[in-house]
Amino acid sequence: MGLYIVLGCITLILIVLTIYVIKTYNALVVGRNKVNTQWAQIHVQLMRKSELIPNLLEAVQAYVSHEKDIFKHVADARQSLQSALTPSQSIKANEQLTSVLSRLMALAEEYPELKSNANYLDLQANLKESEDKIAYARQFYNDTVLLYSNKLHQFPSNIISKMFHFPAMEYYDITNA
Amino acid sequence: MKKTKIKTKLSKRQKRNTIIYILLVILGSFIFTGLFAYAIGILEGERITFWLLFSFFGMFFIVSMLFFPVLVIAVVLGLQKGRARRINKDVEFVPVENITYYRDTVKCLSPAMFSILVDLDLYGQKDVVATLLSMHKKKAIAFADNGDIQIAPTISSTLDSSEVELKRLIERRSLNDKFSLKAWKNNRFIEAEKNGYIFKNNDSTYKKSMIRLAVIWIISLIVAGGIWTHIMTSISMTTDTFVESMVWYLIMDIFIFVPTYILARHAAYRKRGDVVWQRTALGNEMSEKIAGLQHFIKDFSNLADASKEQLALWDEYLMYAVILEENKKIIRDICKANNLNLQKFKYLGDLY
Repeated sequence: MGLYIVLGCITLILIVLTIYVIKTYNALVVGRNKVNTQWAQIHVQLMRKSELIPNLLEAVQAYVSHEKDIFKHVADARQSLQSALTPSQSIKANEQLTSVLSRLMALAEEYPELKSNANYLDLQANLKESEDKIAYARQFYNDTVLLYSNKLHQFPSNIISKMFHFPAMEYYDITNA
Repeated sequence: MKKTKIKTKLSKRQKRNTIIYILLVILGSFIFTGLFAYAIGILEGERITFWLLFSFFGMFFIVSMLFFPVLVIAVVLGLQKGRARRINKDVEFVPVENITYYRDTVKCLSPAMFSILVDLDLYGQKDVVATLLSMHKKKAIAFADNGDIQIAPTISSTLDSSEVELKRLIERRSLNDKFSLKAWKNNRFIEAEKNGYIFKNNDSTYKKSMIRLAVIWIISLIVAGGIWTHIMTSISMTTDTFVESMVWYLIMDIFIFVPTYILARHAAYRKRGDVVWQRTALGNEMSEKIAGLQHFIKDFSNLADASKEQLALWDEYLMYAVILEENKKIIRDICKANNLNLQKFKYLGDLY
C-alpha cells in the first residue's frame, strides 16, 4: 500500500513537472516569436525609410549638385542599412543614416527654392512619419524584449530557457548604437 | 461575417458573477439544511456521509419550500443575466477584414469616441482621464508637480468638442458633478451619431413586451399564491404526503421563478429603455481596429506600468491603454491628486 502511495506521488510530481516544462517552453517560444515579430515591424519601417532616400537625394541634387561628399555618405549609409543582417547591424546603420540625413536637411535649409519644393516637402513629411513609426516600433520592441527577458532570467523558468538554449535578445538602445 | 467581441474588464466579469451567485445559493442552502437537520436532531447517531448526502438532497427541498428567497434569487439572476447579455452585446461588432493586430493609431477618434466604440458606453473615471491626457498632449492643460490640473492660458484650436466641454467643466470646477458629467456623456453619444459611428435603433416593441411580461408575471404570482394556499390548507405535512407537497412546492417555484427571471432579465437588458445604440458600418470598421489595437497593446507592450509622465513617449497609445483598462495607475494618480470622485456611469444592473 505504502509503495503505491509513493509511486502515485512520484507520478503526480512527474506529471506536474512535465506540464510546467511544456507550459514554460511554449511561453518562451511565444515570447521569442513576439520579439521577432516586433523586430520585423522595425525592419519594415527601416526599409520604408531607406526606399525614400533615392527620391530625396534626387530632389536635393537638383538644387545642391556640388555637395557630392554628403550624397556619397547618404548613399553609403543607405547601402549599409539595406545590407544589414542582424538587428544590431541595422540599428547601427540606421543611426548613421539618421545622422547623415540630418546633415543633408541642414544643408537643404540654406536653399529656399528647395525648401518650398512640393516633392521635397512631401518626402520630408514621409521621412518624418517613418521616423515616428520607427520610434513607436522601437518602444514596443523594447517592451517585448523586456517581457521575454524576464521570462528568460526569472527562476525557475531560467532552467528551462538554459536547457533549450533560448537566446537573449538585445534592446534597441540608441545610445549604444 | 461572424461577430467578434472586444474584451473589456466588465464583460469578462459577467459570467463569473452569475456563477458566484449560484454557488453562494447552493452553499447557503447546503449549510442551512445541515444546521436544520442538526437542530431538530433527525440525524442523531447517523454517519457523517449520510448527513452530507441528506444535506445535499435536502437543500433542493429547502430552497423550493421558501417562497420569498426564490423570488429574490430569480430577480438577482435575471438582472445579472440581462446585464451580462447587454454588456456582451455592446462589445460585439461585425469584423470587416478579420484584423488580429492593428499596429497603427486611430488619430481620427477622440478618447471619448474611442471608448464609445469599445462598448457603446462611457465611464466617468477612465474616459475622463483619457480625455485629460489628450488635452495635456495638446497643451490645453498641464499637470503640476503635485498632479493638479492647470489650464493653459491660450486656447488650443485643435481641441475637439469633448475636450472643449471638459475644459469648461474644469474651469467651473465641476468635474465631480455627476449631472454635468452625465450631460458630457450624452453629448458624446450625439457626437458619435453625428460622426456616423453609431445609430439609434428605436425599438417600439420594448414597452409592449415589458407590459406583456409584467401581466404574465402577475398572473403567475397569483397562480403560485393559489398553489401555496392549496399546500397550506389541503395537504397535511405527514410522512405520506411529504413527496406530494414537495412536488406542489416545485410547481409553485417554477411559477414564481421563470416569469420573474424573464422579466428581470428583460428590464436589465434594455438599460436605456426603448433606445438601443448600434454600430454603423463605419463604427464596426473602427471597432475592429480598436480590437486589433487592444491585442497589440496587450501582447507587445508593458503599458500597464507606464505613468502619465510617459505620455510624451507613448502619445495616443497611452490613452488607448487607459481606455482599454490596460493601465489603471494613471487613473488612480490623476484622480487622487485632484480629489476627483468621478462617478461611474451605471448600468441598471450596477444597482445590485
